[in-house]
Amino acid sequence: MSESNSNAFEFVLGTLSPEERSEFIARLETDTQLAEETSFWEGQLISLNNTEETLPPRPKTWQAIETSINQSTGAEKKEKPGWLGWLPWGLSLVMSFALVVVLNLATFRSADAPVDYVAVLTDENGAAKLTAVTEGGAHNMWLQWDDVQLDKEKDLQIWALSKSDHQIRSIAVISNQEIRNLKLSKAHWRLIKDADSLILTVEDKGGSVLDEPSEMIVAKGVCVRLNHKDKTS
Amino acid sequence: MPQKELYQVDKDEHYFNLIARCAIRDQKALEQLYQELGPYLNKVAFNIVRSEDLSNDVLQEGFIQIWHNAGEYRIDKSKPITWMTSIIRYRALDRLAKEKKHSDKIEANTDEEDQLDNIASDDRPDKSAMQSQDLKILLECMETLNDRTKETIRMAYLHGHTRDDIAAKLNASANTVKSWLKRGSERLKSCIQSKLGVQA
Repeated sequence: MSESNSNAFEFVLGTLSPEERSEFIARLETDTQLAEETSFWEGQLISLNNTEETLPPRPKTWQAIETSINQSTGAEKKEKPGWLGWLPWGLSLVMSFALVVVLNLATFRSADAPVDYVAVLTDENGAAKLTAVTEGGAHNMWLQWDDVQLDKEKDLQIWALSKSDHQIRSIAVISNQEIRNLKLSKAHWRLIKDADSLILTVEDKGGSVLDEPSEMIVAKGVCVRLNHKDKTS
Repeated sequence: MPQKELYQVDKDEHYFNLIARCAIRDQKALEQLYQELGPYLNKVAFNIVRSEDLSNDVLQEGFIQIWHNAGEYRIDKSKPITWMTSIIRYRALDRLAKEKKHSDKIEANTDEEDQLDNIASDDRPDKSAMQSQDLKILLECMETLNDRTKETIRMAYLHGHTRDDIAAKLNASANTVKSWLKRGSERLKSCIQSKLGVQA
């Protein structure tokens, strides 16, 4: 068994000396095997904690947390780029569902596949209707549907609004909500990478003949690139 | 899928949803996480720092870190509760090292010993299905270790004892404790992997 196993074990236990611990943390940044060993032990040893054993925090603790994050959020708001101001569907509302989907989709996508882009498409009331998650390596788009009503004579169509030229282009025509995985062509993948947002519309069977979205917009959502950097603590 | 595993998936999904909402700065989500897991995480911290003042400090720092790091959380790397518990534990360990009060805490504590006894037993009070399968495997594998190694692991993991603390308490050298942990980790990992392999 490797040295990294026992080092990771001791790191998770907390028994490394301060020097060993610092050295270990530095190695964690680049050593994927070490990171995996550490995740393994974190995942296993957590069972030693009794989740039913509790100690109510003091009321002032939450107040202090709130104060701290409000201060940092205030600073973030000042730094927010201007273009976020005009997002038509409200970034915070849309994003409030964004990463949620990664878990939902994890049940039917490869756990190792890194997610690149997420778009949560919401209706005018902010209700999530479709979440699209893409993984560039395999050019896949996973779809999570939420209560979209569709006439039998109609199809759904997903569109991408380009960041660079503001044109709307079709990504896929979808005949039913059983479809949960789309294989994207290279051209479609480029559209996703360039997408400001995705739009879901109802179209006649076979998709829009005009190659532009109908006025029957079901939902829209900002396309967000996810951070791949992994930090477990 | 067995009912317990379904429950676990639901719980994971629930916490993941809340972390995801934290990533996009939904403060209500953090508050909900805090309300649901704060008491448990505070206890995890308390078990290590043995002071309510310090555990509340650790909890505060930990939740601020959860807020700031939520966007970097990866469900395929660890379960939500594992991720959050790890943040709190590492914070608590750091705090403990800073406070240098460990020598006072190493003195036998009846609550602590009771807790160790509980954990050593198969009918420990944690009836939560959230970790039941993982717990079962871990406990079975812990049983393959000798008592000294088991106690060493629990003292370190649950209570933040250093090698020196454990050595003093168990009348051994720090290097010997290191050897126990090394051998213990090898045996434990081999056992866990074999049981996980059987399950798969």
